[in-house]
Amino acid sequence: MRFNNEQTRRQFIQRQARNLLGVSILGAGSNNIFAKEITKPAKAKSVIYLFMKGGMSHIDTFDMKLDNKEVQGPVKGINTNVTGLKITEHLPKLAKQMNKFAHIRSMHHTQGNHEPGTYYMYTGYPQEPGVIVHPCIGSWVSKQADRLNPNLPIYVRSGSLAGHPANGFFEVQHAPLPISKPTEGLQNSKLGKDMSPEKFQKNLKLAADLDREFLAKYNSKQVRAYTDLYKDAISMMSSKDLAAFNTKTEPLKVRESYGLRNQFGQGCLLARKLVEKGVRFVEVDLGGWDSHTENHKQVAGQCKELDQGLSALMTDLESKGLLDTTLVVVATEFGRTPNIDEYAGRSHNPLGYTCLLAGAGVNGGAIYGKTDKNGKSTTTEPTTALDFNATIGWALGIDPSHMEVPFPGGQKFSISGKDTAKRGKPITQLFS
Amino acid sequence: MKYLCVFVSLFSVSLFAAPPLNFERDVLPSLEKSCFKCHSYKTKKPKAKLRVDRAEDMLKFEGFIVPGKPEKSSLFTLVDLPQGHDDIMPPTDKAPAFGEKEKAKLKLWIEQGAHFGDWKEFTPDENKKVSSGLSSQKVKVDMDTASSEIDKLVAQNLIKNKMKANPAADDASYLRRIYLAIVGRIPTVQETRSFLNSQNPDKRKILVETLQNSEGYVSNMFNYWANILRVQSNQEGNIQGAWIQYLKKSLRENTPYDKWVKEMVTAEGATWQNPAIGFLRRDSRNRLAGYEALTGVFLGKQIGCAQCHDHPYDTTTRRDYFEMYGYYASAHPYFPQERTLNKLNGRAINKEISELHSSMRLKKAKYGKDTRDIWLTGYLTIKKLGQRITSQTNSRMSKLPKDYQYDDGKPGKHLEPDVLFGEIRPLKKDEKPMLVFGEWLTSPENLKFTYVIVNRLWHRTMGASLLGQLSNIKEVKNSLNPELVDYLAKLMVSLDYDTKAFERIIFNSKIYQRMATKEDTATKQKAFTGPVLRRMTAEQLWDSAMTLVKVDLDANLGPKTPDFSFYNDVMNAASREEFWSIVIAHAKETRPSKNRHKMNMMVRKLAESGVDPSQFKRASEIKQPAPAGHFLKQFGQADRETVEDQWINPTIPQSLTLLNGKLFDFIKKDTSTVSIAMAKETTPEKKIETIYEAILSKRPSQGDVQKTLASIKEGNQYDYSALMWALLNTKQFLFIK
Repeated sequence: MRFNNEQTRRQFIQRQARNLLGVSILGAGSNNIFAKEITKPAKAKSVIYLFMKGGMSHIDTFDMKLDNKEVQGPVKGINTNVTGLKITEHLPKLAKQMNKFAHIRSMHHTQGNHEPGTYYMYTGYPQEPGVIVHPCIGSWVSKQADRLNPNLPIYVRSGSLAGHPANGFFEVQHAPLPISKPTEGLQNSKLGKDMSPEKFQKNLKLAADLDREFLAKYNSKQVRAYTDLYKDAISMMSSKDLAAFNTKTEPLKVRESYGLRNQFGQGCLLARKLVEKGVRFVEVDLGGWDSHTENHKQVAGQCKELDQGLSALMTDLESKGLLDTTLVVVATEFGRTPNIDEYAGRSHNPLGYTCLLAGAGVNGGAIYGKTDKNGKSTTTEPTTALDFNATIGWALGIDPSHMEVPFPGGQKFSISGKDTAKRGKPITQLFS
Repeated sequence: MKYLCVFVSLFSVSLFAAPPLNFERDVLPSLEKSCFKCHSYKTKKPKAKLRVDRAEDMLKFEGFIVPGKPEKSSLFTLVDLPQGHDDIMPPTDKAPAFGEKEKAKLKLWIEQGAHFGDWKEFTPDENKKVSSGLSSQKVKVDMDTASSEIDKLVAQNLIKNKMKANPAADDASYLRRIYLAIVGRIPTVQETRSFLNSQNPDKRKILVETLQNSEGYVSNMFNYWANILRVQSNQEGNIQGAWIQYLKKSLRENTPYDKWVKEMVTAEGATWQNPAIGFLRRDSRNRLAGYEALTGVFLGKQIGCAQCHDHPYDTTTRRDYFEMYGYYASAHPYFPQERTLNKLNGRAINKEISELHSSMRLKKAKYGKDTRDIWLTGYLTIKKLGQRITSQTNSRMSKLPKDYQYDDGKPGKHLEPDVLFGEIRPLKKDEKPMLVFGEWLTSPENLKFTYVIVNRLWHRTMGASLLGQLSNIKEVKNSLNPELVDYLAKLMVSLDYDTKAFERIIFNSKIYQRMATKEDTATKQKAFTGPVLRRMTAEQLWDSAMTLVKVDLDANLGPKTPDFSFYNDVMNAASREEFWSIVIAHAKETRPSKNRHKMNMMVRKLAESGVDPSQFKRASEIKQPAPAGHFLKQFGQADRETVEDQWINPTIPQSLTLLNGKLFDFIKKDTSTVSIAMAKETTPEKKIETIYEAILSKRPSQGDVQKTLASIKEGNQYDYSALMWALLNTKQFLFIK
């Protein structure tokens, strides 16, 4: 017996399995398990995904080991507005808002360095350079969720694309629109000096005419992608909602609450403005968490920016009535080791670390999963990046059985994983 | 029916969902590790006359592999015996035992039918041979001979694959490509004209030589290496850009590649003593990252996974990882601040500095108007002197990590340094390990070192890799053209790692001088048909825009030597009084508070799309990398956080910048190079031709001139800036064909 392709072979196995064992063997890839769980309506319309770049020390922020002096070092814990929950003394403003956040303390993987760790968090997969580039979670949303506002992109990122998997195997339109500096907004979206709309159109036509021969000869995917984005850029110029990119139109008091000199805070403000206008997914990075020397000093400095930016964002979302429909995510590529080394630093620790969720029906104050007494490894409810991404997808109501095929005849992928391997499982109990 | 049997047996052990294993990837590494010592080419008389490095031998050995039945296959049953059993394979102490995961994989592979796929026989990794013999296999290095050898090897591969090379590139396409490749910018109008008009049959050769010997080459190659080495202006060990200047100097003087790499790897001291130290200082806060980057960049092997566990698809174990780390770790950073300043009582100085600072706040400034400058100088000086120094020590510090999880060593066990492959000479007592490592790393006997650089430069010039990923190369036998790789490696060694001469030979080859291949075609092809079509890098794009704006753009390139006399004076101060008198004199001379303000303003202006005319310089001459918001960042300049993290994805902000950006105001201005060149012409046709020469480095067809004239006419006038704008917004401007 021969099988000409993967599909028929798999169908055959499936039939055989049903006949012999009376089960559906593609359980891992079927929708059944999800069908049962989607009982609560998806509340999130948008996601604000805050990435703590460099590896945020879970021990020195949200998963403190206060009984373990040797591991904890000099940093103290403070009470929060959730009974029994303590977080670092360097996040005093957030301590008053902890009732909005659910903590996942059992994130884990085995990618020990920044680039593969970041890739893993964004995509749910280990890197396979030269084989495949997986799309990041935001690109999944761009690909599979409807656009809420036709005048704005669906996916925006405050930060560069360096080291970012972006659209992966999806079309380039599903890459984030990168905003190089949040306070500058979307630069150059207005016609240049001395350029009238008529002249602009005429010049565009001239450019296309003069480029015709080149485009015919080098009609390649990469060149076409540029042509496509030019079209998108030109339609963006006439968008009614361009003001959403301009944080300077906000009252000074609001801008100040996010920190005028806090780039991360200003990124959060930009995110709020975009979400308010229906952008589905906004990413903001807070770099500088890679605390290999003087960990405690460095983490304290980072916390100051996080505390200001994130607490202002939560208050602002709430006052605008957006918190119920916006999922706020705090992610990082890994945590840091319990061991404090000779340079008073902590090294990378992917075996156990913390991420947070808030808004969009998230049960505030919930703690999911645990690390051991030293904070080294996850002990209960281990959570993978695919579980984490599946949770985001679930909150948005994206169908986890909606498959995409990167290469003809190849494996199929959905937002929660590929059909041939264990899929991510949304942590639905974190939502009410 | 054979398949059916296999499937049924799979179901019975409920492994039906497991993806099919690949022998070479999933099983062979275990055999290599545990069995090869006694059962392969490695021994003249394989035990039991059994060889497990050949599929045929394994299949004909009775009862060795029974497809579908691991319990009847002695290959599995013997390795699956309990530890300490008399018959267990490999015999205890002979070779590392099979791990549980390895056993499971072996079992599953037999259950799945024991398919070998295409694999027939194991070929030893050429890199593991004791000696490469490369240094004794010299080839001729005269340019024409070497270039035609490359063409011969490329042609052979084309014939083998029944393919044809692209047609020869016309002068204009070649001209633009070679300028961007060597000096990193498009040619000026004058440069375009002089080349296109020249009748000299050797004009291409002459041009390559001229460009390679210009400062533009240094600027462009610096950008290239800065991405690989992750160079940042404000990193540790780069005071006054000392490391940047060191790299530029090495490129300017064409220091052989093996020599400057060795200089950096074995460097010691402080920045002001040895600027090559920037390489090791770059990662003094995250040394494992530095070690991993070094291994990727110079040995073409990514070992990051093995930091935490044995490499899943590769032979590198966690133990191997920490054995080689022993060399790297011996280059030890320490704080010299206490030592150098101890005699002056550094703590007292620090106190005096903070007193100065508070005296300003209390409006009782100690030195009147000069106080701020003096305070800032003192503060910055102590901070800079506080940067750590690297010392090449003789320590052997590497240990197995505290959470080491395998049976072949206890956590915390001391490790003797050893390399991942090849042979390194043993360390003598008190010898500094990193110096021996540097010797091994850059030796022509270390084949991977040479393969990595020839592959890099082939990729840099041709736009395609011969060996897969640049920092994780595959074995040469798996290359699309192994003969070519082998020849290029011999050529590199025969040239004594003169990378400039090496590139000159590639530029002189016929294959380089062909029209470009589309990149999506190139990735599917089995042979090279020509250089690959590429988008300009962020730096090429910026530098090309600058070429259109600024007259004599390259005039301010050239050597800049950091002046460290101040640091040396401070370090040698005999007393605190002397320390302060040196600082006060320096403060009055340099006025750092003004400079600091100026610097901050500059960075802020730079960030606004890079349209600060005072910073209209080559990308290699401004802050490394450029600040967020800069044109360079928009077009994908690397963050220099990880090796080569530059990107070329098209984005909406890029298109908006080209359509509406302020930079265009400077290109169309009367004083720009392109406007000046155009103003010298009198007829509209000639003016149009000049703009074409300036922006696309070619002359327009009659049809294009007519189209342009019709489009840009406004009343009795022509709006030439409209043509400039249009050409800057063509795809042929962005791409290099």
